[in-house]
Amino acid sequence: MNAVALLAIVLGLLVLRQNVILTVAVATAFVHVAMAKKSAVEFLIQDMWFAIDREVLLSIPMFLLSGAVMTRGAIASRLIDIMKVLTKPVPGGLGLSCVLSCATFAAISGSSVVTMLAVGTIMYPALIKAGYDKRLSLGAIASAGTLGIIIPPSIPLLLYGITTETSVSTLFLAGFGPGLLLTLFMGGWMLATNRGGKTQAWNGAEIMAALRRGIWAMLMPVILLGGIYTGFFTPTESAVVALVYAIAVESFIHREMKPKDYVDVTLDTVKMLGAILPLLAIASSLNNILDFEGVPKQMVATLTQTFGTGWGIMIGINVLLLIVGCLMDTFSAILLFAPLLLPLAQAAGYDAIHFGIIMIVNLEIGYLTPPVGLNIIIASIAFKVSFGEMVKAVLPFIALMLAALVVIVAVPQLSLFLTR
Amino acid sequence: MQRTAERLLGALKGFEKWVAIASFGAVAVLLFSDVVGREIFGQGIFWAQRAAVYCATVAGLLGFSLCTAMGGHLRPSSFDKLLPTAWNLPMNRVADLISAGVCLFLAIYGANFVVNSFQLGERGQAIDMALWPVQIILPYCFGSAMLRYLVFAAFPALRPAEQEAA
Repeated sequence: MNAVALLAIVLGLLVLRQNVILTVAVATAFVHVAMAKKSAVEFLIQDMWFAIDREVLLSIPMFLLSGAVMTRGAIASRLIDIMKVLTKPVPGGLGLSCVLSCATFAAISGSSVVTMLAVGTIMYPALIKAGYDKRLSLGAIASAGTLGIIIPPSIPLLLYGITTETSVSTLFLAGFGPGLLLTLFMGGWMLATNRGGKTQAWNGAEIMAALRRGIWAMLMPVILLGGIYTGFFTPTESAVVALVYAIAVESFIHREMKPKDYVDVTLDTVKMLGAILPLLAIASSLNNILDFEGVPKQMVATLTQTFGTGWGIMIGINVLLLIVGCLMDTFSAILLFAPLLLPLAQAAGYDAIHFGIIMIVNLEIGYLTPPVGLNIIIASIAFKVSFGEMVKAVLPFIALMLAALVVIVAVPQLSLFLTR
Repeated sequence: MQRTAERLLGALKGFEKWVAIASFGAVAVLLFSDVVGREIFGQGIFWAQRAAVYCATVAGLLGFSLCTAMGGHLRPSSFDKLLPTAWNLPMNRVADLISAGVCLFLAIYGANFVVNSFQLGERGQAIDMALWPVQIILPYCFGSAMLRYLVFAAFPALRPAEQEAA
């Protein structure tokens, strides 16, 4: 009965146009008061404080801000220039360079939307000018942008690590294999659909010029990921090093950002943080109370009785996550579902690190599926095309990503080979 | 009356914006100083991460208020289509009143939490200071958002366009 009331409250609040944070807050307060034993609303506020009073969360604002600085400045455009000149002799090279630029930018940014906009605003006009099909170009940009959350560093992987108390640096390592697989699938598709495209010979002087101009941008992933894995700094500290490096490069080398731009990007980031941090705090309280009430254990028991085998559970989890990805934003989905689904996945014999990657790839597909696919919504606004056109544009890429997801689920070594 | 409310919200936004930006800057300076201190001078700043957590908390929770001010909250707008478009204005006013009520509820419980922390004399780890001056940001951010929602309900013209509705 209480579960029905909870569902009615959530749906009622959404119909009454409440935002995600306030909806989850009321739902969590209801769980504390009406559904949990020996709990009260006071625990919600206490849990919220303890959730945000943690050092590990510091990396999120710093990665958000460094991504914003790199997008506003010239780091993104210089990385793209390098990819463009390197792929010139390949038929469909510009399309390939679009995917590779997203993959490279993903190695310094932890966000899907940031990656898509940073690369897309430069690549989309270039692809159209070079005669690429409009729908294919839009699909490639929106889809390759999602590489931002699987290729490390990744804010969703960070959130998964924090929520499930899994090692963030190991998760980052595990993201490389699946990230490369997805890059391969998308890049391969761009080459296959542009087989007869014009090619140009490599021009040594042009390549050297692009490398010279982009060397500071190229050094960023080396510093960032090299620093983490050589033990110079933690993933949290790497975020601030990335930020300081980006500011230093943009201020003293590229010199394309003005002081006002820094104020604007910081304000944008504060807003983004304001949409994430309270949600993280409230979701943490919901997870605490569900855990205290033994809900994950009950779910595991029910589902293992129903599905029996590990594969059955994993197929069920993937279908659920794909649906969740269609309906919820990635951050909320991770915070609410990661602690609930991880015990299930572990009961089915899946490693916590491998499951983290599976979850993020599922939610990565959610960036491209209506009604709340953030990449297609933002791309339709940024590139001035209809939402329906964007949905059609990403369809082949969704099929490719689903194929990659099957491989990622079936072959744990793809995610885990670097972590062992 | 509307102009007074607009000025009040403008001043509130200006104040929160600069405090949030300064806090954000402080997080970066503190964390980077700690890394530089440890890797170059052989000794980090042991309280830097803790202080950075407090600054990030202030910036993030002020970000909640600023999101309200700028229409930046995530909201699934698919349900809006269930009602006729002509109902948009009254529905938005009802929505703002409900949001104000939820924020008031959270602000009251947040204030109780801070009062308890003050009475119990809770102190921080790594930095030996009372926690309540930092914790006060919790009821403040909900209180500030509540005020905004009430103003939006009273003067719909001041309601910002939603930026992140999905």
